[in-house]
Amino acid sequence: MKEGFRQSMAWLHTWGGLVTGWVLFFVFLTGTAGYVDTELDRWMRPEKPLVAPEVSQMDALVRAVGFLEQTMPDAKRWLIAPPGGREQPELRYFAEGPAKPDGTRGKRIVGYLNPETGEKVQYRETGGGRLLYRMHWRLHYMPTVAAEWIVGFCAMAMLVALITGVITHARIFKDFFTFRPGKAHRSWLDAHNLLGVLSLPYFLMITYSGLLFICYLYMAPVIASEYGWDNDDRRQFTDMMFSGYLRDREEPPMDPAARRAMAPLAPMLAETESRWGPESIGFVDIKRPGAAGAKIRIVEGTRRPSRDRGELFFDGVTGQQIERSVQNPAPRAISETLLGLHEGLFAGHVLRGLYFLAGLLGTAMIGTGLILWTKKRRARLEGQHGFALVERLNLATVCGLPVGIAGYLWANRLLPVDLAGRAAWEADVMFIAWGVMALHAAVRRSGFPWAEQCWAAAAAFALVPLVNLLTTDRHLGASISAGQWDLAVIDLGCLGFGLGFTVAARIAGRRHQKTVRSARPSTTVPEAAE
Amino acid sequence: MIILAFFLSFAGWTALALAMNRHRRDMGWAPATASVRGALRLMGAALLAGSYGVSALHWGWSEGAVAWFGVLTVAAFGLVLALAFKPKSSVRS
Repeated sequence: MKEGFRQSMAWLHTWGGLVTGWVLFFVFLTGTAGYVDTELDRWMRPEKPLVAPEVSQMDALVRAVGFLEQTMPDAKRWLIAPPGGREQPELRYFAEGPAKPDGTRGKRIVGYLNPETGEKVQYRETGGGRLLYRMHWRLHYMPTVAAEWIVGFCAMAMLVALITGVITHARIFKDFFTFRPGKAHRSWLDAHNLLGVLSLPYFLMITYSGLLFICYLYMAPVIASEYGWDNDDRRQFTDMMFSGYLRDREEPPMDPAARRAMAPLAPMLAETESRWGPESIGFVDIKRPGAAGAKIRIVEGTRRPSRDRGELFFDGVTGQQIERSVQNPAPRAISETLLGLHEGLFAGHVLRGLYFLAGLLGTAMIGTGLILWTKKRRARLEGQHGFALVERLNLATVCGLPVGIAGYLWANRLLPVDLAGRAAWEADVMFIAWGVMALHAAVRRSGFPWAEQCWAAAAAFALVPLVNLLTTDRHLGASISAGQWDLAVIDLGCLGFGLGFTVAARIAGRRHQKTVRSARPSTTVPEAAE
Repeated sequence: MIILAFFLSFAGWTALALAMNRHRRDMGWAPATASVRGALRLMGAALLAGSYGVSALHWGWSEGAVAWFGVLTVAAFGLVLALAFKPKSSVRS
């Protein structure tokens, strides 16, 4: 090796970070949005009552079973989640119809019920926060496996970039509190270092655990060496891993003529409440409802960092409890804890806010890293094709993607409610808006494109509460006066992002004025600013 | 409780910054001897540990550890911004 160790680590950090940085920026930003997925879901379904009705979980469950007995009596499986806590604000059901004659899985239906009446409720069709959150590892417009490989590759590069970044940085303790604003690329380097160092534990945790989620895909040969390659072998492994599911391979066919009454749910629910406390049910999983061999699994609602949730099993015909011990060996417990930390489902309001902030810091670290690459090389490389490409991709990603996300929220309010394929259209609008910004970044050769895109992002976010006000009666005035902060937080957050981008736009504009000081009179302010 | 955890973190980071002569200068303090800086470092560490204690009281041991990292990060950013943009007024007793 000609160069020193540190130089080669710096090389790896720079180039590994650059080529994966754009994807990582997307993954971090959409993943951060995932920390408010339930709140976004709520905001994107303005048909929901402003204040949720108070219904006990037991009543809600009994009503849902009544509904499913009427509408899907021949289903293979019902899964009902009663309202309770942040993760489960509504009465939701999932049903899987009987297997089709050709042996493929039956029709699967997800829906929402009114917990007071047990009737179906219809919301506008939307991907909600859930879709945004799913994009952070499944991307969009592509098969899941391909997306998981891309994201996994980039996450691995992120892990490498974090470690090589620490080695390259060297002055971690001396520069721990150092930020020198207004000093060109020195300031960007300080910002990048600070963002990286001050939330390093979070970044290491989130990146490593992110890889862990999909390790069954990435490390398939490890599983195969123990269990073999074909599908039956793999199934043996998944059954062993996820034994909590009521999975029986040899099932007698369901005979509609031999239907029996289901054991009443209430005593089972009473048993779970006596163990876990009141209103603590996550969901009830009913397999082969009304048929011989029916089984019921009740899962606790409380979320913990260790992802441990209580489970009770019952015979669906007799109502007898079935003893089942689920083993949790130490390696499994450790990996589950890492996954639990990644998801942060256990987090209350303050901790959730901290998670969201940490996610934003990660996004900012990647963004500053990308920008730093161009700042350091401008003098040497300006005018070259590769440099121009990086610069334009940076702008299109760092400013363009947020505009796309704001566009997603706009689409939720502005697309006709009865539009066919509405949820898909919302996502399309997000990518169209992002595409427009990318186009702007690609063609804009003079002027100050960074300031323009920051203004566009500022307007796109700051106007979200206004669009909400004009199209629904779930606006800030209504949500705040009703004390519905989980709804208000989305509007307020959009205002916050609008403000942040306004500050960024002003800084970018001033920077630009400085560099072209007397070259030409200042151009008109872009229309987005108005 | 949460506010106290933030405050203890902020105070801890400030003590650690005061243990560094460069930041003492930023804050308008005279350079300190090695023993004073050692004492400040110890105090800073104790305050940060205290912040974990308070987090654990509020969130419990395990969740408190997660929250503590978040609190530390936010407090450190607060101090860095204060040092960068208002060097003389962030620590004045």
